[in-house]
Amino acid sequence: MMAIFRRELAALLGSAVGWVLLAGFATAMVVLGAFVMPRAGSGADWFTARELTMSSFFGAFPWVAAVVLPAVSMRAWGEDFRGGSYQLLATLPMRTRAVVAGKFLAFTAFLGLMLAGTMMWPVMVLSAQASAGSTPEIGTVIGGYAGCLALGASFIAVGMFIGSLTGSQMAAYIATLVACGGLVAWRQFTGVAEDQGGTLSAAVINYVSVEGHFVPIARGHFRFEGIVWYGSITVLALVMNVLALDRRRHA
Amino acid sequence: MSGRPRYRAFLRHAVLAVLATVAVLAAVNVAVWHAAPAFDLTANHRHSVSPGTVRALSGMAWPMTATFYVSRERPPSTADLKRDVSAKLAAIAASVPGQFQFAGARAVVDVESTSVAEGELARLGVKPLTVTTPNGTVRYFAAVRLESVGLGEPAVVQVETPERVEYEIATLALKARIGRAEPPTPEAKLAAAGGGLSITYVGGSRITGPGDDGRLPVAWAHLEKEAEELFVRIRAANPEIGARIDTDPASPLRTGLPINGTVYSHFVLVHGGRRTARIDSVTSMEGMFGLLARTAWELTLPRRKVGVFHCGDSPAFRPELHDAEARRIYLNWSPEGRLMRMLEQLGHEPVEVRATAEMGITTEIAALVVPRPSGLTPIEEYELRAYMAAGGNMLLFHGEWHIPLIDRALALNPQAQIIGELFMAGEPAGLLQVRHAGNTLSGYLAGLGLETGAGIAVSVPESLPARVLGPSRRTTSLHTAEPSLYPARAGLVPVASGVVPPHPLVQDVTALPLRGASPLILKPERLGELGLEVAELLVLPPGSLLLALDASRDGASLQYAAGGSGDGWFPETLNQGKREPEQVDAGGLPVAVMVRGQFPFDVNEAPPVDAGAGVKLSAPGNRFVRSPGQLAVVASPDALEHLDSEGGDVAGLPRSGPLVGDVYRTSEGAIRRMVANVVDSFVFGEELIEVRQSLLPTPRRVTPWSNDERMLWLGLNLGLVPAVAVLVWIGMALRRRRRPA
Repeated sequence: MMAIFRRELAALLGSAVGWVLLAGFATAMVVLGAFVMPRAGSGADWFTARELTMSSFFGAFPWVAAVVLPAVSMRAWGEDFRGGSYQLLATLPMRTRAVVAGKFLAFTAFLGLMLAGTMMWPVMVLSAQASAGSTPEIGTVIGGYAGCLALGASFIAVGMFIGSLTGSQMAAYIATLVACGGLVAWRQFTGVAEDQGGTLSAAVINYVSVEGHFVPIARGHFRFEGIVWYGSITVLALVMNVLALDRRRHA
Repeated sequence: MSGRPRYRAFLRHAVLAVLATVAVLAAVNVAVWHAAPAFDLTANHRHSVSPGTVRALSGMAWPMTATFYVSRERPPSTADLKRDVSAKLAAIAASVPGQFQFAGARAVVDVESTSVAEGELARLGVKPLTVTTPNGTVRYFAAVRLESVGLGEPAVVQVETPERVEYEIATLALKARIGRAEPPTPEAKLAAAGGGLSITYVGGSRITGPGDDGRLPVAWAHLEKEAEELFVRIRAANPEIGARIDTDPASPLRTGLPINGTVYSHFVLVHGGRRTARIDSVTSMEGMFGLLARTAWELTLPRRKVGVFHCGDSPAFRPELHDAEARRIYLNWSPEGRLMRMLEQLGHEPVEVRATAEMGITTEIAALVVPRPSGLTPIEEYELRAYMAAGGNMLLFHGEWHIPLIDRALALNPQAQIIGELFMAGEPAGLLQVRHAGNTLSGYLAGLGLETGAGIAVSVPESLPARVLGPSRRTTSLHTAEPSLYPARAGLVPVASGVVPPHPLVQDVTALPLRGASPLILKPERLGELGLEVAELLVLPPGSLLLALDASRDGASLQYAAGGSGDGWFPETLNQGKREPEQVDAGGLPVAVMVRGQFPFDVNEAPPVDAGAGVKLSAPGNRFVRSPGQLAVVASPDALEHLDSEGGDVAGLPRSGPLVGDVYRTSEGAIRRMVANVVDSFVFGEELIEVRQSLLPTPRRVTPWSNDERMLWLGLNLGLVPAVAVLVWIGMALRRRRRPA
């Protein structure tokens, strides 16, 4: 598993695409977090509103992740299927789940690097909080990044599963983008469900929305239900990924 | 086994595996959703039960019970409301066991289909809420009903957020604690009355006219004897009050008149020096102990009324508003009018307070807000001083200079891109309309050790183009009336910031716009002599300018001349022809302070004569009871002024409830928080402030970001990672090239 992990991580960091993704992710987070999301909320950008919080930054993450992370996970199986290296992997004396876990951990580690690339923002926010006489909200920052990691990992798992169903990287990217974007935008459908099925269905749909769980986490209210839900998506997607690969073996 | 059956077996296994995984994950999710475990990671624990709430509930004499009524059918945005509010109420109950009980959430049936349920809710005082969604208007119930002996009538709190529910509960608990329940016996009532109360017994008189009644001396002696017995009981029940019984038959207040051969006596109870109650025409002491005890207890109950001081000069303000419609609007939106509405929204009982020979400031006023005192009569000043010395709590917006039009007076060039183009070509000089306010409380404050600096602080905007598009020039797209939100467009309105570390009363006040603020000069020696404690609340941030005025102070305006360059861009000359201007960096100077302690007052000082009424009041003398008071001074008489030169409202009153964080970003929000915090701390104590602050989003930067800071921030965030990525990639490419094929 560690060999797979190292191989995948090295492949990502050794390619131009990996570094473009790192830079693009950091840029998108700053632009959305400082200008787009705050304007949507209060009509003023982050600097004008003068709120020394990272709510808008974390609020931008689900949307950025839904666009950027499919580009990471689409590489999971597409190249192996196309180049024939999957046949080699399949014949190695290791279980499918170890291969899947190795790749998943590598992509999640890459996500960790992407998030590390945005660390300048919390450092500056915390220092500004301290100089403004407030207690630095370190807990909120750590919780927010943990939420980002958990949510991002679930998107990667979904992307890997979709990638295992198709040999085309582009098809995997588009399908994952639609799936992850749908999970983020899912909450918009809640009103429709209310009219049709009452509050229970609305509550279920609300729960399914990954963004709904992320809002309190971004505000420092670390609810475990969000992490459990992200973990559930991840586990289910990884299990189905293993089964999809095993099906290829059996087919 | 052939391939197909093996594949089928695999598929069966796969489907079972997926189903089992889904079942396990669903069970885990349902369990976690119900348990709702959560960590509050915020620095001030704003998602947890506030320590202030715990203290407020712990201090209640009787426990409080909460029942949550919530509709099954609710708007989508409230899908988690039942769970979250129930969790909050359960958390409060767990924090103060025994003092707060959560009776559970009662599901309310669909209000559209069952009028019976709605009728029952109406009986309980639960009103429906309406929310407009893209699919139409949704009507639903979500309210917490709170019951407690200490509350008297049950209170119903409409539920919007769990935090708001907590705030309302804490507020009610504090109010209930202040409104103490009546002790059962007269002795207990007297004991609960505490100190600070004096009782004056005014003996009766007898008529010496025709038909002299010989029984009167006997009745007189009997009444005196009964009174003495009464005093013994009072001394036993409350020695402190007992020591302050004054039997004064020769008092000028002696008004007992014998009618038909009857002797009358009177009792005068005085608390806090000026809060009085009388029991007149006492012919027998039977039942008098109970009546006196109850009166004494009621007299010493904490006061809740909040007064807004209307000085006699108030209607004369804003003389430039010639238009009748503008004057009518001004009556509604004057600082006094705004304050009255603001205080009502904050849950106080606002009272219009005037000080005349006939009507003084009673100590029933728990807190007094005095906006822009100017042209004070000697009686008004006397009453304000006496109120403070008798334990009054006053929030005073004070200053020597009124600049109501500071954001309109300077005609600025909206097209200006450089400093030299700032002023309009045809208007090289202009008039900053400043009015000297005579007869303020400056003398009184100076006597306390708080001198008002001679000067007007104006802000230094961050961005010139943004500045010239400020409120001084109404443009269709860029006009804004929110100096806090758009500081660079605030024209000349200075913005005060909190001290470091922040004072509890202004911890959540981001930036207070202060028109024409003058700095306060503290005299520690004088304050020390009087034993007054002083704390700075707000200071002018670095970068503001202090423009010293001419010492004569007789000018009705400040004249400026445009021009200059570099740092000298601001009006070069002030009070032209009289004196060169002084431009001083005013950063760090206090503009709002809080003073606590016993305020001085000469008990033998007779009230001034009201020339108009010809009334001469006597000095309060020994009946005046001193008590420590609190005085918050905000050195900006026009901080509450919100009208422009045409009488238009530049900052509409927000539709906000008591949780003033709703409008925390606006200038109006900053002023409301300041007023709310100070007045609430006067009336309810600082616990309420703590609760409010713990529920507000935090933190915010006091001073606006400068362009340099923005560029540095964006540069580091946007440029660093891509730069590192490019460098690493180049390094890797070079390494690969050097490697042998």
